Amino acid sequence: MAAGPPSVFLTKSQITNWDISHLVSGARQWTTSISQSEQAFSQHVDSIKAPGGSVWKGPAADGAYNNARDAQDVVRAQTAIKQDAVHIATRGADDELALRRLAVEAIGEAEDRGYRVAEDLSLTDAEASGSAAIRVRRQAEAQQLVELIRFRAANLAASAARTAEELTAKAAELDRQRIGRTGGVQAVDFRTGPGLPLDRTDDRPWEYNIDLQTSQELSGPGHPAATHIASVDDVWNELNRCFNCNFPIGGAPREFPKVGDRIPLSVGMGGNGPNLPFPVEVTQVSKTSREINIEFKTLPGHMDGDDGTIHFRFYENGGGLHLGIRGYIAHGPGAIEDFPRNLSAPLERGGYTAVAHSVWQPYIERLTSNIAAAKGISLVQVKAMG
Amino acid sequence: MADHLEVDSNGLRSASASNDVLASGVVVSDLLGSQGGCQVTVAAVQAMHAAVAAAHLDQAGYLESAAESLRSGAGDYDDTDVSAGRSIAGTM
Repeated sequence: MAAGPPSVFLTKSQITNWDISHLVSGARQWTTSISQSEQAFSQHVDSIKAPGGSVWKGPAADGAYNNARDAQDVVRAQTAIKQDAVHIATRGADDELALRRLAVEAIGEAEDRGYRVAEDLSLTDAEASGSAAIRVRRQAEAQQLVELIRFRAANLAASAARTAEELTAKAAELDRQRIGRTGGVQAVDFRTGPGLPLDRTDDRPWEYNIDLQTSQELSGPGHPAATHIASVDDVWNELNRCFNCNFPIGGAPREFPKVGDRIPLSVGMGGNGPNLPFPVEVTQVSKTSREINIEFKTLPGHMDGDDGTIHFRFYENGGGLHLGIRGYIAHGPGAIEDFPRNLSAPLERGGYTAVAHSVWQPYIERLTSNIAAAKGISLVQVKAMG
Repeated sequence: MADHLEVDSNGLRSASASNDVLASGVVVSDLLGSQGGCQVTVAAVQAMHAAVAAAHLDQAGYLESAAESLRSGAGDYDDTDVSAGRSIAGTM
């Protein structure tokens, strides 16, 4: 893949050219590293025990031997971390390979059914003809296919973000393990149990802001944009009719949630692993004649980390309905400044913004479709879903 | 204490030389690959490479330091042995 900043969402070519070779080669190199270090320090301990095959006894010999064993203990702790990293990279490569295949299959299915899939994963009906009924059916089919493609692309991006987060945490853990240079051992942070929590005092919260409109169009001359058919009142009524018919993440309730509700949102991974958790608490639900504001606080276990917020603002502007989303990430990906997470933070921020686009675009598309259906309005084409 | 002290300074020098070899063996120079790309895992893998390389440099530094200590210790044992021998000879 070409170097450069990440795009705001996964493109078709990014998916088809998805690369896992760096994960595979990394796992291989770290395995070699484990072998080299273990062997070197095993030989070092043997060498101190019997230098050049000779006998060495006395206080200096005892001190040197104990020192060598202490150093070997640190190396073993480093080995455990490197083995974790090997496992994470290997599992991540396998997961991403499977998720890429699913995304490519979804793209192929759309193309097999006569839709053109653009770089931004939008669909255009290559067979845009036939009766109004056929076109309505094709529009509904295209909507489902776009959502499937976007969902699988988001799963791929989320899996990569999780692997990146876990690997950078292991890098930070390894970086804290040190042997002294002057004979003394400085096991900076020796432990064999689970890693300690990262120091959060240096975290640098960040936020993404995205503004979405429906990309659907109306039937009729010129295919005008469908964005003006839905008002703030319509959105309010539709969300109250059926919240989870519109909300694009699993685990949402059918009833419109109220402040204080805790919602165990999650994204299913099917047979590719456990569901990704996104637990939240509702902290704001308000409506005026001009806008609706809904805010969630992220809870521990959320992929964004805890103490973050996700704010949804439905509003009308220029005669069209907008969905503004502000995600505030306090202690999750892109916010951690401890070395070496600071190295990957910019890419993490780009990756999460990309995931946000992919995840939330279906929110406004579903609302628009359902509001149009309630009003008996035909939408005939899906275009530029990003 | 004297009956607990046993050492072969040539053995220490041999061990020192072995440590120099070990130190050179744990330095991994090609870990920082040239992976390009914009996937988030590329930066994560590079961060892990950097941490592994730093650990290897740390290990090499420790082994080199130990080798120097062994060389120095061998010399000290020899010097002490010679000096003690002269003292004993001088008193006899």
